[in-house]
Amino acid sequence: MVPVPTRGHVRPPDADEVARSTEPLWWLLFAAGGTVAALVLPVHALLHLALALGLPGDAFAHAHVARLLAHPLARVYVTVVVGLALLHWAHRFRYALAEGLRLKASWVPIPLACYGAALLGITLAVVRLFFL
Amino acid sequence: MNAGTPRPYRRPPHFAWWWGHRAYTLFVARELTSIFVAATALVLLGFAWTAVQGPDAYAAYVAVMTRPAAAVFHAVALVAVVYHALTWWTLAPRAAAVRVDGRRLSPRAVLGGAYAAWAAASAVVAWLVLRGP
Repeated sequence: MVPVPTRGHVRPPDADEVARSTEPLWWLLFAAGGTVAALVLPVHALLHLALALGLPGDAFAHAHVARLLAHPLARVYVTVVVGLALLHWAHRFRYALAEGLRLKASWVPIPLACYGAALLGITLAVVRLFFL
Repeated sequence: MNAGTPRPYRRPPHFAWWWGHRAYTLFVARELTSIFVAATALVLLGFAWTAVQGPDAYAAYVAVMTRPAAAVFHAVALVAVVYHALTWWTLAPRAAAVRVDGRRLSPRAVLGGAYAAWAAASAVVAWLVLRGP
């Protein structure tokens, strides 16, 4: 009788298994991020380009931007847009690395790196905009 | 798992399996727009971050963001996020069945609503920024 290799129920789950079992959460955040990014990132990118080309005059003056951000809703807006956009990136990039570039079998815990980077960015944004 | 029967050998795909087929290459290009989604969000965060820090940090950040290389980056990012938005709105009516009074809205109506929301959100953001100090 050949011993059948077990799936290792006693072993703690690795990053890939944790990411798979929490998949609906990440997918939901990915979808929310894709929608928010499609709604507002084109106009932000356009404004960034306009600023670099010298178009909007004093629209990007510090006094104006700082006064916009003095309103808590503006800081909530930036945090939500940045946070969801990062989570959208993390989910897509995870699959681009794992399936697109065939790195699934590599030593890098890809889901951990992608979602971890997004969560780190969100944490930094929240601390900067609300607690400093 | 039956240890006795051999499984047929499946050759693992080449890491660039998506290159050279139009549909696959476009698919990967769309996946890669997510990099510019994140990058544009980080540029936006940079403005908020340094503006909260103070005028000096903000001025230094604006100086970096208005360099010629940054302008090229913003232009590429704009193309990428617009491509993301267009493909996202095209997919949304197929992925989400929006129902009103138990009847499913036509994909055309969902698409129209999405474009209207996109235009409205863009107008509000542009107005808030461009009305100036």
